[in-house]
Amino acid sequence: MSDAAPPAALQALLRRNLLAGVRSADMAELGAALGVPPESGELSLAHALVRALADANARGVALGAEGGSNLPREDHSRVVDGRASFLVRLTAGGDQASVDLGRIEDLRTLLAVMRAGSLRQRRAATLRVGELLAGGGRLASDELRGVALALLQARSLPIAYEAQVVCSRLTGAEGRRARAESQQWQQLCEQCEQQVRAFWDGDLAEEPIAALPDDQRVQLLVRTRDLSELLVRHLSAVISGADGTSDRRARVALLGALLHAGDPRLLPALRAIVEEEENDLLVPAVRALGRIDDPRAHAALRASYERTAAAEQRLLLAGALGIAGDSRGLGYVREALAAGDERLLRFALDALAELGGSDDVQVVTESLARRDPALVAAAVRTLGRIGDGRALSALAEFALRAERPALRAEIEDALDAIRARMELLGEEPPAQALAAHMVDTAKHAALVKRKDPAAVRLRAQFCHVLGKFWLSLGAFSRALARLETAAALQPDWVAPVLLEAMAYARRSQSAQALASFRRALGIDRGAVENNAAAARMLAQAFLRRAEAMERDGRDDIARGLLEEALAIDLRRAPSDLRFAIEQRLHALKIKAA
Amino acid sequence: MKAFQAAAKAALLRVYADQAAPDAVVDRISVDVELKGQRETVSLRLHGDELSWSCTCAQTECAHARVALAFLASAEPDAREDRITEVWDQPVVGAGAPGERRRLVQDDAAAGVNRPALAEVLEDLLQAVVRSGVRGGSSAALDEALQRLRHAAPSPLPLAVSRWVGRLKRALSAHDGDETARLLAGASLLIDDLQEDRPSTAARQRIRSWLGALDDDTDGIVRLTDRTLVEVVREPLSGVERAAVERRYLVDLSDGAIYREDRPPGASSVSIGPCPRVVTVWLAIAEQGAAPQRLRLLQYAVSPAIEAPVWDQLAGCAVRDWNALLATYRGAARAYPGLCEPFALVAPAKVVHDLSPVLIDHAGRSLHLVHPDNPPALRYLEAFTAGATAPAWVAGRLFDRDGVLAMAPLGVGMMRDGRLCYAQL
Repeated sequence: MSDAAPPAALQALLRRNLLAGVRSADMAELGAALGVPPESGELSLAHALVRALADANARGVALGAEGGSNLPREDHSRVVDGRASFLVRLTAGGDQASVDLGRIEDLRTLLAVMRAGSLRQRRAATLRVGELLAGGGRLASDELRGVALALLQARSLPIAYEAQVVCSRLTGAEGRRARAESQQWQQLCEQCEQQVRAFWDGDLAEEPIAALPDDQRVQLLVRTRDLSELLVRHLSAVISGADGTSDRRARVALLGALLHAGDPRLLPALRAIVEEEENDLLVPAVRALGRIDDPRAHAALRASYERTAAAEQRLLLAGALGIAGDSRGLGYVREALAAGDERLLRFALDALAELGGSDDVQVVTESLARRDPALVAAAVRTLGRIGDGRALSALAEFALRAERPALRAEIEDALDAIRARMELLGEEPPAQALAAHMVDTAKHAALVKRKDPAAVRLRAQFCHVLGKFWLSLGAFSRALARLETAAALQPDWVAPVLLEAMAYARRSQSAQALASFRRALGIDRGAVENNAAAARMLAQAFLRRAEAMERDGRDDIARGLLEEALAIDLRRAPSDLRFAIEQRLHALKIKAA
Repeated sequence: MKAFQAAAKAALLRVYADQAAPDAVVDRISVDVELKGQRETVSLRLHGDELSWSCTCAQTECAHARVALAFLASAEPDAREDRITEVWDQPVVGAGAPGERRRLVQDDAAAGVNRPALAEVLEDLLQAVVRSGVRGGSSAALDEALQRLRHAAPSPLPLAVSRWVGRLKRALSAHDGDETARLLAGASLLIDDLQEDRPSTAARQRIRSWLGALDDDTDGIVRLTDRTLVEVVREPLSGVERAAVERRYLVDLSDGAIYREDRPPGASSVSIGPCPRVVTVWLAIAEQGAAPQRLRLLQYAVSPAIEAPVWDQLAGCAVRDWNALLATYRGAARAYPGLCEPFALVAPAKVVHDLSPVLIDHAGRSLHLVHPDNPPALRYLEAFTAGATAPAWVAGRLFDRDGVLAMAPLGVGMMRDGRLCYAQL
């Protein structure tokens, strides 16, 4: 090969021909340019063409100029849940940050986020509570007790690592216990490190982490993020099957134990397992990967979701993406749930726990009637994670019938989470009298929906008319029950929900009105925004609720409500109302600054 | 056959009724034959008056060829045993029966390779792409040639061939002319090498790089003894199937030489240990060929614990002059155009965060960091190195795009509080 660079014109000719394809008519010109005799044939020409072009390209490679890269950047956009609220916008300083948890000093808000936020929010809120504790001096004793209680409740959950870190800063018995546990953990780590070294030196035949008793293994791995590099590399080797001894069952078991590890150092090994797509390993690997707060985890899950056809895996991946705020799998999950395949229901419910919204409450509530206890528990957890107030009455009634203590505990946790979420959204649960009607509504709707769709639509319209009638007579509870039935029968019909929202607003029940307006906006935003009366009542409801929250010292929630209101098209609302919202928000910002 | 003829006549009348027949010669056709649940593609080629054929079952005088010939000769086969499914079907490479896919679990040895058959398939492939053009993307002829390549290549399919197929498919789907030219140039060189009766040393090295160690190979093997290697990163690479190759990059602390271990996912044919790790080698063999050289560890010990002096030694192996990097890359790209995927460990003087991060060497020259397969890696790298002038080193695969040398970063080492922090991207 000559070192002289070929003329640019020749390189361009070769490239053009390779891109477009060599036609018979081009052969003479190309052959002449490459020095290939015409009688050599098409194959010789093809050889000469690719070699000459490759060689020219190789010799032409150069270093780039600073800032001259035209290579594509990553698409940062995520498909995120469109619900606007203080809670949804809360982040731990990530790419959707608009409310910085680091600035929140209201313990009530932080504790509510710990119970009802997304995984990322819960972790961040827990650590923020720890910061406030470390700051010291400003917390009253009852506040401290509340914090300790919340942390203790949280310790068996996915935020156990953060809770343990914060607990060790507490004063009193709880703090002492947490510090003693930390010391034990440290000793266990040192012991494991020695054994891991011996294992790799060939002095120990058995893989040391698998050899640990179950409780010690969990104790060790709950704080994976504090483990040494040596131990994390060893864990990576075991789950990848690169330790030379662990069989598949051991790998699956360890992957399961790493569910809440959340350590980015494990990400390359987990990503490799997800790439290999072997079902028994993939399931725990996806679950563990979804709980790592890292853009690389999200990208790996997204790629896997887009190429996976198997329903179970796809549902699992949809849920894992949901943890990162990516709701691209929501439609698929809803379809799977509607199809009612028993084999997939558990996966669909788990995924919906991360992705679902108020639209899904009805269908998940229906799952409470299933016989499989695992499915029922999953439905309870999902209702808790969705956090819609309408599930309160259904769960409360279900708790009365639940026989197993474990299920009752799940229901209590779910109720607690729903209340916390409503608190963050500035909402309040419906009155007890209404709640009773709503359980009946769910049952009624479930029964009627099995019939012909046309009959269901007709029934919905009938209920809507009846609801209006009761409203005109001032029979508020009856009216709401009918309107709820209409909405349950025809979930994509905005009229009954909007009517309900306006009825609440007329009665100055702003907290309940908010919830209904949010539902109506979710069904048909245009119908709400283009209705002058609805827009006025909506703006008033947000403003009144924000004022109430501010009076209660919940400035963060008040600010969130006002920002949410201003994100809605309120051109049809009176301009003085809009101005009042802006002014109130401005005042709150100054106060916060 | 009669049914096909009748259907073809009807289609001609329907679609091309008002067009004159072009002056063309048909010299090859492919027929898909399904026999006892197994589908194979028989390619028939007319040289003058002589008909030759090959079948994807890789056997001569097979039953599939008999069915195809009978079909063409209008001697319809017994419907009970044979069924012709499609003509000019576009088979998907890698989507064979489960048994076939299992054959792709590779040992990567060139034993039993039919050199003339492999050369012929590669010629067909080269011709198919050059004829249809890169903008044409994938074509029936190309898919068929790739399918035949899988059968003509040694079984199990060598990882280098699998990787080459993966890169070619990707280049064609991206309509990347330069990458396609490079891959086909590699195939073109291999065709010549396979057709030589007594291949030269360079030709033998190329064949080895493609097909693995040769049966009678002794001169292309280098024994390594008493070395300390550090595995810096590993990455999954696409091949005939997605993530068909796991590649591990190891740096020899004595001279900075870079080696690779390739394995199909899940296979236990390579060394044990996590990444990163220190490998104390008592005996290994390195295959001379495309960079990085492929390594087989025979006697070794592994430690996941990497002490500070080892990290220091590794940092000492990093390239600091981008001109040297460029020269190495150009040389590798010209010597092994179809297989060239050089890897480098570089120590930048500083990092500039532009549209993408740019590594600057001591003379102010730029090396762009781009990761087309894993874009969030760049975000992570930026976050990991935030607040520092430059990382201690960055390790990654080199490639070029639009004539500019770039690196797909795979790992980074960063000094924090006097100790090295490592992250695999």
